[in-house]
Amino acid sequence: MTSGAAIRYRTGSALRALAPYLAAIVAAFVVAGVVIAMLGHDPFVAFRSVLTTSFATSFGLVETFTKWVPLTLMALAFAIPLGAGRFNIGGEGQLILGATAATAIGITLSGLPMPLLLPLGLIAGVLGGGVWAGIAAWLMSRFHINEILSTVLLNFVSFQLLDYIASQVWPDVGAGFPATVKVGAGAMLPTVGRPALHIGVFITAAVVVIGAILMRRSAPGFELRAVGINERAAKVHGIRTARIAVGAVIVGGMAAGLAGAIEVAGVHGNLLEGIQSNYLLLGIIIGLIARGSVALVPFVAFGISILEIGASAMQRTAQVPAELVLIVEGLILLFLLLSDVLATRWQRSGRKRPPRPATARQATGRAHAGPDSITAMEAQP
Amino acid sequence: MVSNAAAAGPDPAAALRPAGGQSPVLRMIDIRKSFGTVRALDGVDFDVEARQVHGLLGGNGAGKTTLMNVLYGLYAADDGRIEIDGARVSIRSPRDAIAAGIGMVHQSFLQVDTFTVTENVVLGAASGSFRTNLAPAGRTIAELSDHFGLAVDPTAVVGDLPVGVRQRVEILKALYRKAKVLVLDEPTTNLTPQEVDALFGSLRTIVDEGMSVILITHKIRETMAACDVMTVMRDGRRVTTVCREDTSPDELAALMVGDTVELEDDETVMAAAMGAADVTRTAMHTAMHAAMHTAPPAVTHAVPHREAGPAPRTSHIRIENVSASNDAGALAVHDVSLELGRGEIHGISGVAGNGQTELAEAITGVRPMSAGSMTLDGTHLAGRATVEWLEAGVVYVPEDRQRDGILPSASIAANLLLGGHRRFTRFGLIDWSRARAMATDVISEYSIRAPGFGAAAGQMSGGNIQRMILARAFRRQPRLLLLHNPTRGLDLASTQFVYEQVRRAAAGGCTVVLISEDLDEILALSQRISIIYSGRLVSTIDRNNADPYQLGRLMTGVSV
Repeated sequence: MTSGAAIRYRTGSALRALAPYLAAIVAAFVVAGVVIAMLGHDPFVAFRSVLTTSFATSFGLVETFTKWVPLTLMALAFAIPLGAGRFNIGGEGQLILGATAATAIGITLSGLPMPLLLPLGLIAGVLGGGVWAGIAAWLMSRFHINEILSTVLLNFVSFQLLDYIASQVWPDVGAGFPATVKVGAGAMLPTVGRPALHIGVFITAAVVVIGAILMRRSAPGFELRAVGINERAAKVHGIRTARIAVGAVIVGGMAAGLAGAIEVAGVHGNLLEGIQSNYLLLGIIIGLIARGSVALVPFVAFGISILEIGASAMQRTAQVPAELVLIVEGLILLFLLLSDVLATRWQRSGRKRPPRPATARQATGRAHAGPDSITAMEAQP
Repeated sequence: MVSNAAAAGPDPAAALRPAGGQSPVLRMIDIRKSFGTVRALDGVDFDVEARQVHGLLGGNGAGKTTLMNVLYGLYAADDGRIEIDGARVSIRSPRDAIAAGIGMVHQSFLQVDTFTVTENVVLGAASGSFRTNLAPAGRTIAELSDHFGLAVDPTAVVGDLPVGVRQRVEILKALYRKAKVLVLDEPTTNLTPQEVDALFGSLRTIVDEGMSVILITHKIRETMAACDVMTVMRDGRRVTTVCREDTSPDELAALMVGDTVELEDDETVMAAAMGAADVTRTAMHTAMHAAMHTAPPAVTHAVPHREAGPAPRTSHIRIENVSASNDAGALAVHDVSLELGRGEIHGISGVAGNGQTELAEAITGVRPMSAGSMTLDGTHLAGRATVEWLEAGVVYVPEDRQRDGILPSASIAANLLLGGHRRFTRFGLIDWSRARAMATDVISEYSIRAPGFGAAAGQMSGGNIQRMILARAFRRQPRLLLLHNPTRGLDLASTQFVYEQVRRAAAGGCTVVLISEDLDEILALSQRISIIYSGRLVSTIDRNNADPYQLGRLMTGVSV
């Protein structure tokens, strides 16, 4: 095969890969526009504020990047286990545990200088999230307890834990709702520029770059994707599939834990009720839109971040409820999944081929991580 | 390659051998069915009379299950017609088949585990009303069960029942739907000998009541025990139909195996031995024998004896008393021992489902052994992780390529790395440019037809997938290569290619274990042949003493 053919092959597939995204976004906005019009508002005014707020002011841009951090990390918390065919729906709990651990370090060791305290807090957050996910991973490998159930249920446990720590252990009695006292100054992330942007953005960017490289090029990353595509074949070829699955879930928890630690150290300065926001849901949406690809997650997360920041502006300017943006986000995902179904159907009607044997788990894994992982299995330059 | 093998020869199409003047309950006339280019059924006529247990015999791919799937409406025939009680019926779905009075018991049961026996039996047969009173149905089922000696409690929850009872639930389903013809597909596979006896007793009662039973099987001993009439199929054709009184197990074995062997293999053995890097005395001995042994094997009837031929002098691989369980936890491999020499190609022949997959997985480190040991050049491997077996040079080419062999949505390059990917790392990262260069080489060297190394493996044809899998296996320079049905579904060119590669690997000192249901393949490649039956190696025979008829008898459990 000539290199020219190789390049054509790639451009063709890149275009084909991009088309459903554009179609899904357009379709989602059209449907949402119809709804807005039916509610008696002007969809064009609404969409203009949704899409431009992030770029209209430097404040908007900083807000967008600040939001991008937890969205990206929570999407990784979902996407990395998904690569191995496992579903981590416990990002909330892992984020809360990460935030709790970072807060605990930040309060108890508040006198330490920043170069010591800040890394300690972040590491504690990563470990906290990892341990919390590790419980579900251990139950999964030891007792075959479905990780979807265990991770979801551990979320509820984490809410109680947060409530206890924020109202009993280090309560800020003046807050009026469950919240801890502030962490020491040395536990806070430094900021750059004005309006201030905390450097958690750069930490997250570094995590994404390293994560994407490891997923695409390291041996464990290769094994993880092999397990996700065909666990039986991976096992037959000497991959320790159980170990990989456990590792994937724990690494996902660590990403969520880091999100929690950065929320404390960069945004809130303490642990408070509701710190998890709706990041779990958004992280799953982002992870699915990115089809489990770690390299795509930051870009999708940025798009969703723009919508999220624009949502409240839209409420002010067009009187459209901010929740409508969540509907748009959901619709994008739905249309994208629909495009997968249609693509498969077209492919099948175009060329008959024998159905591939697959377990239910593999089938679901492939439905999400499928088409993209054809190319994602290889490091494309 | 189809030719009239033995005494019986193919019957004239319409001939009805069994005595009894009445017209048959079921007639299948000139049934044809192709899958792509493969002719699964090539004009099959099949008649079943009332009050008969009719055995449908044949090896794998003979077409017996396909024929019954046509009858049950699971496949649409390309041509031919089906008559029941003399009237032509159109069967397009299992629903039509059930309405026409046909009941089928599949190898895997479709039952709702949390329902009771009654609920399962009534499911789908219930009348149109929204509410169903199950009490009368339960009484009917209890009566049926009693009458036919099935011993099933209608109130038991199906999920709690052992396999044998669940099978009888399937029979009850057919009886409850008033089937005239009951089809059982390999019903004894998962049964104990006692359960087999009980099943056959019930079948006898069922036919005594005026029904007919079709028993799909490859086990001759069972057909002799249970059937009144047998139809033998081979290569998508009906070979013959015989009454039990008029035949013998040996004749049936001969009919099933057919006039298979075309001996291009004398040369084969010769070439393998001559090309070998370290020509062992055994191999030379084998080759000499082969060279002299030019008479057709069907004539010679050499008496096969256990452990024939001197054991290889340099024992390379020692498998001792290996047992292993299947996925359901039942013991599928019993006490298997083998000694293999360097460069030996050892065939393991048997009918599918006799523990081949479990044995293959147990001696390649994929499935844990429940007992026994295995050493490769003195290194103990049993109990170690699969990856350590791989590192020791054990390479497994599984039968189910799609399920066990490839990452379908991943690129060819990624698939070629699988298992050996840790050898392709540089500074801890996989060196994809080297991997792609390797993949490009492999694609041309093994003539894999694919758009490039980036193409998804699952999009290729079966032959090309197998070439890719074999390329991966051979590139690892295995010390033990286990191939399970390596040429199934491949065209002639690909098959020849596989044979060449296997011979070349053996000539280079690799020990090859070839598990295959294709006797021709086994005879063409192997130096020694072991027969597997019910999870045991019942006999090991030197290739030159191998007589296909004797092998056929051993494979079907006629003589042990």
